[in-house]
Amino acid sequence: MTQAMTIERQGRKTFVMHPKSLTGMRRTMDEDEADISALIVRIAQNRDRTAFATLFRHFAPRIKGFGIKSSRDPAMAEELVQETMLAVWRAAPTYDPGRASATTWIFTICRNKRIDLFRRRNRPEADPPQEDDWVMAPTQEAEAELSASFRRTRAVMKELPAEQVQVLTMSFLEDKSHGAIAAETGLPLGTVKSRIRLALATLRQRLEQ
Amino acid sequence: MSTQHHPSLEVLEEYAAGGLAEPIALALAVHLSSCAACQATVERLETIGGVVLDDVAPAMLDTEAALDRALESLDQPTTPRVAAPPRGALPTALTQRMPSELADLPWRRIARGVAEFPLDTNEAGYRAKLLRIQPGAEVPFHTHRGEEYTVVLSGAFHDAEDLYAQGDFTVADPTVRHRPVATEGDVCFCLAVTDAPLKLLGPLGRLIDPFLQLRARA
Repeated sequence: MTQAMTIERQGRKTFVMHPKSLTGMRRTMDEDEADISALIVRIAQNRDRTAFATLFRHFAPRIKGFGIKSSRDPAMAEELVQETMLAVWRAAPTYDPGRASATTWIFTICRNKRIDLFRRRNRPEADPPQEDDWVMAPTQEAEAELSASFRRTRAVMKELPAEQVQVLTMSFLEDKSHGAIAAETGLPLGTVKSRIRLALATLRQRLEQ
Repeated sequence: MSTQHHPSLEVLEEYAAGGLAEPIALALAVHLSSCAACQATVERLETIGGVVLDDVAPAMLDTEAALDRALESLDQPTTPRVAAPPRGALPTALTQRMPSELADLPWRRIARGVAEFPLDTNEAGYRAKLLRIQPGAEVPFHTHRGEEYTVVLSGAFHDAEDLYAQGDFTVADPTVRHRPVATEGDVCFCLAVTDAPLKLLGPLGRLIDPFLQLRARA
């Protein structure tokens, strides 16, 4: 089953997409991030269900893919989709486009829900910093910068050595501590940590250019 | 006083990614609650997570059925969250895990001027506890089998190397042998998380040590 299937269901078209059918459909990141951000703002301001549906169709298959990577359980991964998207609906009024890019914000919600759901424990969350600890940039400017930084992070990650991408991906995608990554790959813990460090140093250096 | 001792970039990465064991994530959350610089670093690191989520292979899903289910639950009333009662200036992540205020906890004395209260962490192999060290009191000389993460909640302590004040985060491993002493003036409260039992040194330590190990395994 390598092609996108269209299923007629209750007189309405339902798309069940195979991962491969999505490649080539991606638009540029800037458009995506600005569009996604606008959808979240519409949910926050107008409780806009159409915006929610659009956001859901974009993220649900990704969140399920994300959940399967750490839980290996499609049913749990579908629960993660529900929990995350419901939390997005409820937390939308707290979304600050000048603080995190849209997809990054949804990642943080998804990550927290993954921990709550799969480990059955709430993630310890830091309290937000005091307002005066922050230099507040004008939101539009900050948003453009975050979006550019998101795009550059993606570009730099594509150029990192495969061994660094492997540990970074296991860390973010598979819910594994550095110790668990070492155990699974057979690499010494020091090697895992140094690969992470090298990847982060490259990212930081390239993002500051 | 601003924080002088911070977590390493690798630990911040683990926190941003979500892979840290809960007790260590708790120590991080406590530090981050008073350290805007590390919190900004975590936010930058989370961008990697955003890219990873965007690039993950989308899974087969009946999106419309899942969407119908989600739309139905949007209007359900949220279960009111029971807010943690304010416990002074302590971070919420910590007060959520405390049964009462610091002063009212059933502290257990472990040495002269030093008392501890174990926190429920539910993660095998880890122990998280609050420490109360009276001004000038000293924690028995010890080293570590694994790693010990300490965050200062209030007051300050020092060892032969350095001074640690409110918000400071430090990790001691088996190469560190130390005898932390609370500075004169204020009672020092810390959160300490270990991934293996401490190993006491000195004649008294050797007597107590087997007992501590038993208790840690219990």
